[in-house]
Amino acid sequence: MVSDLAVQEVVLTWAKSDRQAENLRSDLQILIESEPLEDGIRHPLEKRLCDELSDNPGAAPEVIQKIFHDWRERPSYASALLRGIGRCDASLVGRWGLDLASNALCHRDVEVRDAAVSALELWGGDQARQSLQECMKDEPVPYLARYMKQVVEDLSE
Amino acid sequence: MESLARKFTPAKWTADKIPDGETISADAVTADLRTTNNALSTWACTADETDVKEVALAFASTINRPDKICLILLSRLELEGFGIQVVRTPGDTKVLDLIPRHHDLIELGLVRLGRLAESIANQARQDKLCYIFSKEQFCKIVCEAINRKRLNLEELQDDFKNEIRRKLSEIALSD
Repeated sequence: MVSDLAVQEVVLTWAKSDRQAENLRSDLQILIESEPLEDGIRHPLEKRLCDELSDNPGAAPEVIQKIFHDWRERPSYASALLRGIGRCDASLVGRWGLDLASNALCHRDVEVRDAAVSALELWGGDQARQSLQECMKDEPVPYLARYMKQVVEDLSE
Repeated sequence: MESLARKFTPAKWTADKIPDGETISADAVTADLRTTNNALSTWACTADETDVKEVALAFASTINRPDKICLILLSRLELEGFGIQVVRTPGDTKVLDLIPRHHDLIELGLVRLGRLAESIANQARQDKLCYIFSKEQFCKIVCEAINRKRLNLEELQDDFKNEIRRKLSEIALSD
């Protein structure tokens, strides 16, 4: 039989993780609104994400994916988040990040697809190349199709 | 014909985002056309890709992380036709021979900025004179400039310097 104390502890843990998730979501939103993400220029969002992934490797991936999912109809936020994730080291992001970016290659919004290509380019590797290769023939926006093709070539070298 | 290149975010300007005849999104303008002292920075070049790579190189010392770089080439004549003044000013780059290529678009009020935005949107919609260099391509451009002594590795910043240092070692090993 589970003691009252154990139940209380579980509830407290949930409450704490909910609070952490809300804090992260709020911080990310403020950082995204503070200044646009620019190619080649570091953005405070990436430090916040990388710190979260380093400090909470167990919970952070799920929370970040949930935020991305919640923002899927807000492409400016979703793309900024994905660009920030893409700027974290591949070892910190791991498989879930690759899957998230690979799936985002099919997103209806070009900004999110662009962010996905950038993330895959920065992480590199076989899975990134394969995902890009599979999606590039269906990419309707010419510049993005060219960029995908170039990244596939780069990652094949 | 002389063009003026500007770094931009193509995803914010595509036909998906700004269908013909519709309003240009404020996000595109506030992301890519942020003025300082009512001026915007551009770099003179021709539409020849080798020349556009020179402009990309000019950015090497101002970026701080490895990434792709996207440039759009605007017609100087068209801009001047909008009443936009183009003046040569020293460029913020460590590649000395590229410094004189820099031009500011000055005294940009809302109307002129709007015309500039429409011009960018028209070109981006048609994918006209839009160049994108992947991270790898950009790093190669920079490595070549360093090997030709046009740029000093130590003048690059942070993560970008580390990435270029790694690439230069790879190149040295493969030679």
